[in-house]
Amino acid sequence: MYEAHFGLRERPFDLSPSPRFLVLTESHREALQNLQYGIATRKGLTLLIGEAGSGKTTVIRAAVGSQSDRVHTIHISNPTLSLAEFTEMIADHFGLSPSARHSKAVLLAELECLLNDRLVQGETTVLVLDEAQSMPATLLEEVRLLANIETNEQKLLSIVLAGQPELAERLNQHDLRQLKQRAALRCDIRPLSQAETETYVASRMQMAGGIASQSFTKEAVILIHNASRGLPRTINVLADNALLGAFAAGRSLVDAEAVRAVCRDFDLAPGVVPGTYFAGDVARSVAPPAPGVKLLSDDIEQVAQDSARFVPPLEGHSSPSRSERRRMPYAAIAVALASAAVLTVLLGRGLAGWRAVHPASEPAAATAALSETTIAGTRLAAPAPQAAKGQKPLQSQIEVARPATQPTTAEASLLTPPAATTPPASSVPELPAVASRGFTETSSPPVALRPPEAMSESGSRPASEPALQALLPIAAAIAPAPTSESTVLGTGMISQPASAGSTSPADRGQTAPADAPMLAVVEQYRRAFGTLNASGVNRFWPGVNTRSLQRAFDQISSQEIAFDACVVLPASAERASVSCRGTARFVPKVGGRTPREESRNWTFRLSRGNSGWVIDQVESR
Amino acid sequence: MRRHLAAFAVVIGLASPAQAQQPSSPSSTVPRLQDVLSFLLTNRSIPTGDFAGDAQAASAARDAVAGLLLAELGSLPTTSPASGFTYRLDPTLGTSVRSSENFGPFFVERSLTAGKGQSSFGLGHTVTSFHAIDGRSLRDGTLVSTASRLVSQTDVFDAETLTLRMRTRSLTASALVGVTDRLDLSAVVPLVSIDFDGERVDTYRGTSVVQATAVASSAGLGDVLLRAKYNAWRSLASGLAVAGEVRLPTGNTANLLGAGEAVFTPRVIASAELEGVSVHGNLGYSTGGASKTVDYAGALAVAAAPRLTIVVEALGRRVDRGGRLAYVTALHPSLVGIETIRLSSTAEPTGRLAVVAGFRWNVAQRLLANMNVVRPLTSAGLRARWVPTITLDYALGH
Repeated sequence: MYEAHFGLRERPFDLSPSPRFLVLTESHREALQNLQYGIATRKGLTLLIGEAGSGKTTVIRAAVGSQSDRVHTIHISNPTLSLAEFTEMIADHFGLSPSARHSKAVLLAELECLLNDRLVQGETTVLVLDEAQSMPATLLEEVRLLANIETNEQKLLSIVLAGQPELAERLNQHDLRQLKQRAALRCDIRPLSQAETETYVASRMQMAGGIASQSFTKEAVILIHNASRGLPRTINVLADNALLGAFAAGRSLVDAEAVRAVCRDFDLAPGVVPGTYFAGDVARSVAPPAPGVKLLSDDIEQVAQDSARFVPPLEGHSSPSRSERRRMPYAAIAVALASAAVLTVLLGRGLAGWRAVHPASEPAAATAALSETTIAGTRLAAPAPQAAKGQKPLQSQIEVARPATQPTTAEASLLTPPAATTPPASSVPELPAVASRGFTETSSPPVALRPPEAMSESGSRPASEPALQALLPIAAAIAPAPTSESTVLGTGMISQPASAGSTSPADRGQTAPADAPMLAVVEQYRRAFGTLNASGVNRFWPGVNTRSLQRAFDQISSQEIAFDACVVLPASAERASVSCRGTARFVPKVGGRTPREESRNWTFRLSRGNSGWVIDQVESR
Repeated sequence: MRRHLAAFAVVIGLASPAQAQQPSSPSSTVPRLQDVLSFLLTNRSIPTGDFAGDAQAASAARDAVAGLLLAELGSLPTTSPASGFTYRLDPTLGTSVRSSENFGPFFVERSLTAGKGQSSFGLGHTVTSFHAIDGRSLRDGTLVSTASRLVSQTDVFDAETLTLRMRTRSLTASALVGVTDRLDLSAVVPLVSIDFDGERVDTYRGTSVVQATAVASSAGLGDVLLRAKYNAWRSLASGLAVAGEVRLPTGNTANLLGAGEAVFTPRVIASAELEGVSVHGNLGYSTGGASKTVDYAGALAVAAAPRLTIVVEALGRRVDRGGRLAYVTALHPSLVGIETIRLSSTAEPTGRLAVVAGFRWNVAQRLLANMNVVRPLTSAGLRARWVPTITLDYALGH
């Protein structure tokens, strides 16, 4: 829901271990390479050790995903099985005969035969056992036996044993020494350092189409790091909820207080933030920084003024490490080559052609956007002139829904000469591993100076425009009357401002502050229903029949609700309704497991109580 | 939808060979079950002096046994598990819930329809071994078919008794398709096998002599059942429905596989479900066939687990002219002081009641494994101690 608010294409901090969002730190890179090497060379047993939430599964998936079609992978993510169950599972996964399910001798014989056949055909088989710290000793012994399947020259089965540090401790036990001896490779994933956390946040935001420096203060990121202890999963939780909190509060920047609030909610200690990194926007807008206090925005501003210099990451104030310094020349060469390529392309097209592709009506807006981009760190909003021409029909409002903080393609040509910038996003590789390598090798995600043309080609705004246009009929259908009082919010959220006078263009494209709490309640509903957590629902929906809801949730395995468009209809200061249109996708627990997707309309009746807005009633159809 | 209807038609099509199985010609060398039963029931050794009366009584008794047998074969399971797999939106909660939290009863209809485009198929197997008829044992040689006694006495001095081992096996194919959200069509095609093994013994003043033995069997299509159910009112999983049922005379009458007449049964169905527990009630009235019949049934289905439904049912039936076995006494036409007792039948109303208990288990995906046993509570009609049925149902669609 907050994606549009922060200029994102998608949620940057989802918890699912998607290799697409892989951000490689030094230890992640090392682990990934080790895994890839172990698999490719049939090294036998590879150990992958890391704390819960450190990214083991993501790395494994990336390693497996990078293999060719000739690599067969079997991934067992919950190996807390009995010996019989484990044997059955192995037999099933390898497609062995039914008798192999019940006889270890048959299983081993058939498996060896199968693996030999694959070897002859040049194929490799990998068995990944995740959460291996929970495996009973008997199963670990079975793993050892599986690892013994080999020819005179090489192992036939590559096994990856991934687990938390307890796995390493268990392997030190005397009775597991034989298994430990068979480990050809061992990779440890360490928690992220503060610098890595900053890179991680910036990279994730960038991959989701946003700009970290425009959404997080430095202090907030440091707090996230301290509270998460550098564990990516916890970072995701904190950052995601901090974004939601900021969105609910109508703020466009996640500051330290937003993170502290999330830490309180999740009972995490945020730790102490060094005063020298007291962050940007609030301090700057209230008072000049105290001597010795360095603002994050200063870094960004400085970088913005020096377009020939490669953009430093969020930690631009800190000295690069030795390894980072060593990589910088390579990064610079890569940047120069990419820039040259972009320049060549642009020259080939010709500026006239370039402008012909993009409407000439945007320069005015571009100017406004330019000024904002230049002072991105200060967050001074510059209204788009043509958007200030008073009330416009809904479609027009949708057209101006693009937040002015994002330059258009036309702005690109005005903002910076292509050759002088970092590579456009089109040249920022989309493959996760490559993209991540770019970040880690340079330790510098392109935070502030992402070229405008890149935004137009891969950024969220232009891409979201057709989506918004497509939503027009929906929005028109939901909105009681497509009057000028409706304000488009991001990707399809429509709000009627609390007062008719607050329709200034500057407000457009952002959540009306008065509506944010209501939309936040709706977002809480969406989340709770997404996590099938009935017990948490009555916090924001006191009248819900929790028992019935839990019964309903118990009937489905998973659920995902997406709102395409929402309309806030304030009835009074104390009451409002929010109408949303979207889809519900769920996987039934009984019957076919095929996900089912249904279009739905929701009407939420809200009222404001002592603790804020709550849901009184929900009607869904 | 078209695919489901086609599959439904295939099941119906199974009934088409039925005409080819209609009573074979009298010259057929294969004994028909009706004839075998007549043979076993007809007196050969008791000097009654009225063979026509013997034959008439035997014929009446045979018809009664056949009718009772067909009544047993007519208890066909319903096919309505699809509702346990379909999901609907709960508008007040805003999330999808199962149309019914359980998979429904076995023999009792529920008001819930499967929903448009939903379909299900089932295959069931039932084995029934009868041990008594109208309260008289079939197995211990005490069932008197014909006897003579002195008028003033109660004990018979010359009697023919019947021992009958009767076993049926039914393989039932069923299909259901949701034509609209409120209308279901279903068909049940039974393939029936009946085995007889009988013995007639004459006992005269304590001395027994086997008079006849017979072994016979028949197998083939039974009476196909077509059902239409319309859900007239519903609230969540509760509601009211009406159903119409036609039992087609596709079974071979001479081999006791079919009634030989079409039977039409309108039925009213009521269901109420709350939190996985549902109760269902059916009331039907059959016309056509040998007699008018009122059937009534109730069921309790409990979702013990999301994939497991425990079912208890009570099935009742009252037949206007049920054909109950009875003894007819007549004075011997020539021997003074002797009367003849014959096994025959009367057309008095009869009532039957049975309970059913079982479970439906969602083994995987949309496959249901069902098992139930029927326990008769009344002595009327043919009675087995337990009638187990195993069924597999598979639902298609979303």
